[in-house]
Amino acid sequence: MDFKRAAILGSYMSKDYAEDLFRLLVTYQDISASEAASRLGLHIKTVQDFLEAMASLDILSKKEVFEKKRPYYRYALTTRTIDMHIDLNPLFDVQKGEARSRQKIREKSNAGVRFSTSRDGQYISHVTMWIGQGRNRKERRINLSIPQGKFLFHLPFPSAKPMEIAEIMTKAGVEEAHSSEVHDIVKELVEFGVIENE
Amino acid sequence: MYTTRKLKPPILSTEGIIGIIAISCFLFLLIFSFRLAMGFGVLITSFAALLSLIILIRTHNVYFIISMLAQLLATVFLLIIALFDIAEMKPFLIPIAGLMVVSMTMMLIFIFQRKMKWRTREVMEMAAMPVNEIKDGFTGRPLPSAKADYSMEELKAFASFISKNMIAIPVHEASKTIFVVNIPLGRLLFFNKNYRDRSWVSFDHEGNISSSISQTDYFLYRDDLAFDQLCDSLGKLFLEFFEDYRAGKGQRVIDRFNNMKLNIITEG
Repeated sequence: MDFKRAAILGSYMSKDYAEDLFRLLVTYQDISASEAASRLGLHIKTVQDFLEAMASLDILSKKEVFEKKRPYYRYALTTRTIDMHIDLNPLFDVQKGEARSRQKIREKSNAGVRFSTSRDGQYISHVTMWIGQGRNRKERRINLSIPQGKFLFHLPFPSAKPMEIAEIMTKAGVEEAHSSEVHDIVKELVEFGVIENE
Repeated sequence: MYTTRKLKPPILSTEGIIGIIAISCFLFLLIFSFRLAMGFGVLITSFAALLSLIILIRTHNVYFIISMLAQLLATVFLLIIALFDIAEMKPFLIPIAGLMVVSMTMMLIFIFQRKMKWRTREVMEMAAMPVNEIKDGFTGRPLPSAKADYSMEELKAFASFISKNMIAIPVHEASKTIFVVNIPLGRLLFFNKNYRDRSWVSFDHEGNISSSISQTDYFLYRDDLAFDQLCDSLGKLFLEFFEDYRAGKGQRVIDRFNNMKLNIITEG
């Protein structure tokens, strides 16, 4: 299950009426949203959203039926167990990390960002950016961990030659164990146009 | 040796403008009332003496003792003229005038010898000398320039050398000493230690040397010089000064400044 599907499932499972709705689905061969809503004393929209979400996760099947002129859906349970299994392995993708470490980066010229140094002046403590334009312009401040701050302190200037992330980490004395947090801040700052890559 | 200047020509500084206005007022008052003009002269010279005193305290440059003395003697001289009958006070005025002329002559000699000159423009010219690449790349981040080995005593002595020779103003912090290259007069006079928005070189207690050039100072250059090279050059320049000073060649550092042959007075 990916994070998106897990988020939907988690969000609906956390509702206090979830168990009651599943009890109805177990009891009935199939059930419509209005029947379930009237049975539990809930708003029809609430129940409809729940049933639709479960159908999108293949926990329920839905069948369109026609009664008089208006079509509606009847939902039936398709499974007896629900597993929430999330694979975190892709996040530990070492090969991807190595490729990222070879990426050459430097600060982008005229990025309109403020780097604030720590008290001892040996690393950047936070980065302040301004997002949006005119009246909607907002300040966005990112507080950095010490390895991230040391890394950014040694980031090549806009007029300097871009360097590999791994090289900058070595220069800054940042250990390999912190590479994931370094890559994270690099990715974030590339998105905000503070860092440019080759 | 001829070198191309990389800084824009100096502009009249705020202090310079205040000086011109004060002298103009003095001359204007001289037309209407001699005594009033002398009284105004007292204000000017006493303020100048106060400035010299503060610079003396901040830099420990002993030549400012002579400057302060000359200005104080001028204050007393003008005060006597403004308040008393000149003929009656002649026995006092003659020795004061004599001392004043001597101290002012000495002050002029020191000025011509560039012993009372802020070296800001020279430092900035020297930092820009090896930089020929033009590439816009300003950033507010400091640059880690170099690493060096030094003891706290050596750093302290170097800071004293730098301030005495008016190369920069040292600011001592718990873990480092920062040399503020271009400190505004206001901050100097009010002992303000804020330096983060100025150009500076920092020597920390671990031997790391970092440098930063402020946007205001960067715009003093004619071209958008490669910013990383400029900051690196500034840091390395101070390291060279330090190494020369440690090797007992402090005079060589001063000679380098004098060989730049910039104006004898501090420029804006």
